[in-house]
Amino acid sequence: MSMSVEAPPTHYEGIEGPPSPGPRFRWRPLIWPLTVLVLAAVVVPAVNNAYYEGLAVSALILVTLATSWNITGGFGGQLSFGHAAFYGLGAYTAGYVVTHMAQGMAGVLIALVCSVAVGAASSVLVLPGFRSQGPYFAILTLAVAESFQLLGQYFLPGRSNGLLVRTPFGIDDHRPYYVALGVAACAVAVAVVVRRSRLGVGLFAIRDDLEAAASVGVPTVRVRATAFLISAGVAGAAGGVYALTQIFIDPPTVFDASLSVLPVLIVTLGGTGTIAGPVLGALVWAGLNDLMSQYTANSGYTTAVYGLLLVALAILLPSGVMGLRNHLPVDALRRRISRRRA
Amino acid sequence: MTELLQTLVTGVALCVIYVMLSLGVALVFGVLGLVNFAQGDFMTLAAYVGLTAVVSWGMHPLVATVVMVPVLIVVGVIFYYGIVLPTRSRSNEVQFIATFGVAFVLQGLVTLHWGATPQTIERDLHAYHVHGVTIPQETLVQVAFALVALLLLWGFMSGTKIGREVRATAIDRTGAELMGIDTRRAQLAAVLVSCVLTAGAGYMILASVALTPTVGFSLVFSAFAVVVLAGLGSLGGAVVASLLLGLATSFTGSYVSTSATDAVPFVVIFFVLVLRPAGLRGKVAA
Repeated sequence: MSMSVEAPPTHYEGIEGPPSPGPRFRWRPLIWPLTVLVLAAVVVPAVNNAYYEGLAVSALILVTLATSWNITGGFGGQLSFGHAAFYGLGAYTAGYVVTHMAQGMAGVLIALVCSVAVGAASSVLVLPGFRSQGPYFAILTLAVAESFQLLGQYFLPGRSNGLLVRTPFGIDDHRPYYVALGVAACAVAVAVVVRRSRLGVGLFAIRDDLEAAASVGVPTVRVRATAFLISAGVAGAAGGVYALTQIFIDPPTVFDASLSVLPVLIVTLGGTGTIAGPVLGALVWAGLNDLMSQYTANSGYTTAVYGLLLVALAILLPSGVMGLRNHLPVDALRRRISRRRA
Repeated sequence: MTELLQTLVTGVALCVIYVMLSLGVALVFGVLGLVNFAQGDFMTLAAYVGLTAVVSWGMHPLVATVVMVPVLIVVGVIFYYGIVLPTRSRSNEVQFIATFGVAFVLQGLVTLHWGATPQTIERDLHAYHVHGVTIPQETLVQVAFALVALLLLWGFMSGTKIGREVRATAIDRTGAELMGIDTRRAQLAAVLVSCVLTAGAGYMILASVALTPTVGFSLVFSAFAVVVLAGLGSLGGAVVASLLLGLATSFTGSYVSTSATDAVPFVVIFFVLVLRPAGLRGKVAA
């Protein structure tokens, strides 16, 4: 009979707190991201491989989506399993605008702006759920996203047949890539700004302990609502980019549950609460996806491997890849072994 | 009138499936504090094992539960020692992801072994016709099965020592520890009981619908709806909520349209959580 009482579960695996406050804008941490951005903007189009460029576009959309989720989930600890709702609405908005309302590259820009706006506006759907905590909130967001997938087949333009998208892009056009890269860069920039702002400090406080944060005067409802507004807007942008790279979208594709779950996995893989975490996670995931599809067509293998990966992640690497900076998973195993021996 | 009664019958048929699956989810959450996304795929595995038992060994579906239960018990043991314990000190999202991983692994294994094309067994189509209402015999069998299962569960929870230990652990884990209860054993018992219940759900699925590897994954949302309605952790509430959800789905199917029935669990979840953030009957579990 063991009488040991387990240590209370840690509230979060986020390994970074808010950055220390200070009046000057810190440029140094941005050197690496900016370098990567410049390289990405130059190298990929130069290689001129349509397959890899398409892969890069998908990866960038994923980066945007993951970063958007991180704003509420990583910074704020608000586990949302419904980001597909914002993504899908953004996709439909952009697709509709660029096909029916505005033409050319200006149309693309307008479409993106609209997708952000619509995505942000739809964040109000989550507001009624703020009274719920933890798993209840997560299930509520899941319900919202799934509802969209089903109801969208009745109420969205094109109904269940889907929407045809007409974009000014052609074959061998590098512009979709630049659009995706630009949007992803903006998303990361937004995340950086949020993280360094008062909103970010409030979010981290809420993540750690909502009641304590409220008791020291953090306007929890306002912070959460604003964070969701921003996060949903960015997710809408991700969906918008997706629509702009397709010729056809329909509810099952853009509201798919996997789009709600994927950001959670990716950000946890990369490291919640960080800026680079979602980016790294998304790139790793996109690469892995591509690798797997090249090796086997049997979906059973891929699904099983993903599952094993997730389990291994949860057990060995809960702080994500970024967590490796602070401690290696080997240490955790070592500690566990020595604890059992003691 | 007959349409109303027929809808009621369909609602009850749905209800029993929801009951078996959601009780498993509720039990795991109440005792372990873990939202187990893999519960649906436990059911899928059980259903497919039953499929083999029926098709290859000629068993009757009900008899096949004798095979399904041990398989799921093994899965439950592996799940508890391999997944739950190693992640017990992690955050909720990490644990959730772990259960997701298990769900995917099971789905993948099922796809690999049995293939992704929908498979069915020969249905028992006997039905009773009462006043123009068709009551399938299979539905009656399943209702009886569910009642027996509920009775056994109730007996276990209130009558046996380990059952009371499980309940104590669900109420207050630390308090139970202080009373000398081995909560690890109680948690394992809860997982295994939930697996047995889920095996029952697997039998019902096998006898009712065409099997695909994702059948459990889709149904687990309905189970979540039930558990949310009932309040996570409340078993009695889960039974009531299953009935409500089963009837709601059935009535939506009859009076709105069949394709709208998929949305019912989600709409239910949304409205219940907005109005009652902790479910209809549950306390806000820590």
